[in-house]
Amino acid sequence: MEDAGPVTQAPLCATITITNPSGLHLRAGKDMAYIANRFAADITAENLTRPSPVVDIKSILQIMQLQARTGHELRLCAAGADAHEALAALSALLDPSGAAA
Amino acid sequence: MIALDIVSHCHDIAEGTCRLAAEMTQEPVPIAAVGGIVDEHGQFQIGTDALRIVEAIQACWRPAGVLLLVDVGSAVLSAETAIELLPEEQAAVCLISNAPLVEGAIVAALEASLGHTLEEVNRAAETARRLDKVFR
Repeated sequence: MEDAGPVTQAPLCATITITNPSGLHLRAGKDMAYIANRFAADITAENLTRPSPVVDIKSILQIMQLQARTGHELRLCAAGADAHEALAALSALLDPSGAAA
Repeated sequence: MIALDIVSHCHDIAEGTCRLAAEMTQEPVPIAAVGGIVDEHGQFQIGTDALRIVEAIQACWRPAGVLLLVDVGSAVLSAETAIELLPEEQAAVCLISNAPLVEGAIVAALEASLGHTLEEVNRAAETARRLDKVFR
């Protein structure tokens, strides 16, 4: 019988394009942080369009580090029991056209 | 819910930082701003005034605590003096943050709005000390 250790699941990921004409500005980042904080999942983002760290999007200052302009692509990854719901909620906020891949 | 007290040498910086921080909240967070000193003509000048900081703390004080976000130098000294002048039960839950003022206030307002504790909010605010803004 296998040891019943912590369940490790591969993170779920989605790539979304920033459609807000002003980019991912402070107020939009705030909305993103509040949504992320509703979920238990660990959620990260990386800007694929410019040099970017992989950031924890429960932190408003780390979201701002993405420096995402309109048209930039973000890779969102979530790991945890509610990862799917978290990605759906964040994609709906950032990419309302529903084009997340 | 904790409260925030913004302390700057400059009245306009304190008020402006307070407005910016308030924008970051979802639930109302008590935030007080205190900046500068008042001269004999009633005009704000650059400086810090421990007694005005006492008033600001008492205006926003909550049992869960007050996080003081300060700019530099005598803002720290005046904040320390202000805390010493408070009744013991109020002073016991006041904490001066090592966070940079503006970034710290942005983070602290959001984290306080989430209902986090004084220590949790301060820890999050102090991460601003080591986060780069641009990546080259």
